[in-house]
Amino acid sequence: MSQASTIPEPEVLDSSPRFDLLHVPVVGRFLRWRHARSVSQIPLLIIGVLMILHGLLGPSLAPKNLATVLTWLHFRGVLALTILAAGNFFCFACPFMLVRNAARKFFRPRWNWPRALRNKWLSAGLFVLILFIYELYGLWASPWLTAWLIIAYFGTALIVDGVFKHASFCKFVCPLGQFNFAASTVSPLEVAVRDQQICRTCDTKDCIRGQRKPSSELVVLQRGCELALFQPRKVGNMDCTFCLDCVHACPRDNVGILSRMPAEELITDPIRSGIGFFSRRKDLTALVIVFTFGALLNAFGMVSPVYVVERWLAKLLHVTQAAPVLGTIFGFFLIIEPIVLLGAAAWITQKLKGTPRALIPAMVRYSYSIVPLGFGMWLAHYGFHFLTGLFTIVPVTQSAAASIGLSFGHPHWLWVGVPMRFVQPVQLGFVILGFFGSLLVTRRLADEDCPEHPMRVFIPWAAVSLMIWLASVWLIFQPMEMRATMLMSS
Amino acid sequence: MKLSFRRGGRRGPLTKVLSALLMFSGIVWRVACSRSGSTSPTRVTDKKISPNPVHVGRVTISFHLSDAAEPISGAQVSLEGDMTHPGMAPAFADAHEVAPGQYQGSLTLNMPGDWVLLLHIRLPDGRKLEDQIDVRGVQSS
Repeated sequence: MSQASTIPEPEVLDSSPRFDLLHVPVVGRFLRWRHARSVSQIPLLIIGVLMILHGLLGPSLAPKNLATVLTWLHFRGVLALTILAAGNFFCFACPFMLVRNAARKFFRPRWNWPRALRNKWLSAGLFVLILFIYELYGLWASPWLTAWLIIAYFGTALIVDGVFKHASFCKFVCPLGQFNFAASTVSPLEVAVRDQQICRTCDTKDCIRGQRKPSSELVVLQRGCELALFQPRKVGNMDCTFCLDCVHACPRDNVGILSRMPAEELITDPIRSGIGFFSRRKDLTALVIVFTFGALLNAFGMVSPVYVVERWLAKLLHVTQAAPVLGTIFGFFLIIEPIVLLGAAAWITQKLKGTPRALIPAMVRYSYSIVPLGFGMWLAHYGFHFLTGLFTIVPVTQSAAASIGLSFGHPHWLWVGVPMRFVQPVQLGFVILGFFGSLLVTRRLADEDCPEHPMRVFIPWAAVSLMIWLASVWLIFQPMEMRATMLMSS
Repeated sequence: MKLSFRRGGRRGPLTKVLSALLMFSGIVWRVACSRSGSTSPTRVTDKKISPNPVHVGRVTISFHLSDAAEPISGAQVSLEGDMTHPGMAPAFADAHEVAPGQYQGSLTLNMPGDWVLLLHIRLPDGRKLEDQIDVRGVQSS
């Protein structure tokens, strides 16, 4: 009996015909083209190199440097909006992988990624580290540090994937990739098989093995999924880089970029290829916590009350350095607060007899419900900077071009972006959308786990979402105070 | 059987990657740190900003411009205020000479946080000079 017939198929909530981006005239044809990824990566690589050069050699003032303007305004905004509107297309066009692929022509990795690290603990930790460094050193205000951050990304990708096989960097290391994976669980598009029937009769499994040369099995003509996602058993976007290797490898043209209900993958709990059960992955819950509470923390670092808290903590801890104060704030936001909130909700769910699960498994199971809220807050934050600084790329590019003797006119420094008063309703809309998304996921999880009394699950976990949402709204209405140096005015 | 030996043995992929990265980092570091400072005798001194501490709203900037201790009169000075965070609206204004070599101007800082004030100076002989005042922690009004 084949493996395909022994593993239960992923649950599909809606069996109606699905939109397929690969069937859209121009876009679909481009994406089906074998070199579409490389062609998409090349412009980003060029921009990345320009950002590094300008960051290291250009003006030290962040608003006038391509490294800081593009990284902290445009890149983050476009990334979040693309994930909201479509899917994980940044990983698709990731320039780090273009460099890695080129390097692999010279360096053949020999080892498999260590078994003990085949989880999200390391990458979730690196995610926290990036957030911490961002706050501690005020990365947004330093083109030089931003340039080195980009270099560090390129370097780490090269080292990890130069030593370890497959896409170890993407799956187990890259903090940005983990952000994209978590966020794209609420995207409307996913890479998925068009017809499960066709996969049942497939005996080559090229989508994961890759297409091999008929005369020599060792020669790979087209790579299969490097992230160990076997298409017929793949569910949703977690760990999917949209590289489209599976699309090119499938000999039956049975893989597409299909529409689905956003956040659908957070509701179901089948065994997932390359991932297992969501409900058994504590490391994924850690990632979800960092993703969601990190969104609040990242926004909190930009509003006035944070400085009051910092001064109070500095006095309490008898310190003058920023690191211990910031570490305490991070500990509260990313460890204490989530444990208290999610732990209390799981405990109440147990007491109400809403779930037979133990405390930690219950926390893991329902923690996925807060992902839409977290993404809503990231959208609100990144969307704010993107929209309010939308046009700044024009004068910065003019200025950068002028510095190497190219003239695109006098820089229009007053070209800034959309006025804040118009952006705030958009921010509010994002967090409201996230809140309703979280409530929907909570309700579906409650219906599935406790069909007789869904409210026993829904109420405690909806209360968690409500608290996070209220905190998000409070943050949005706080006065902005963008300061790179902490404790300076104390 | 003929055996061949390479000095140091065969380099592994990690060594190759690290060597390449080290070389790249060295080049970048060298280029990034190679900018030299100005040796011009022209000086911007006695830079002041009021009110102090600085609050959101109108602030007055004053400074002294000299060359080898001689005040420079007749310079054209424009002021620019930028937040350290990219994407925020800058503020522009002109400064005027209020005494020989002494210049003063006002800017409106519209947001709390860290600001950098740039002094764009065109000297009477046509040379351009730029100076900067870091204003940390502008407070709400």
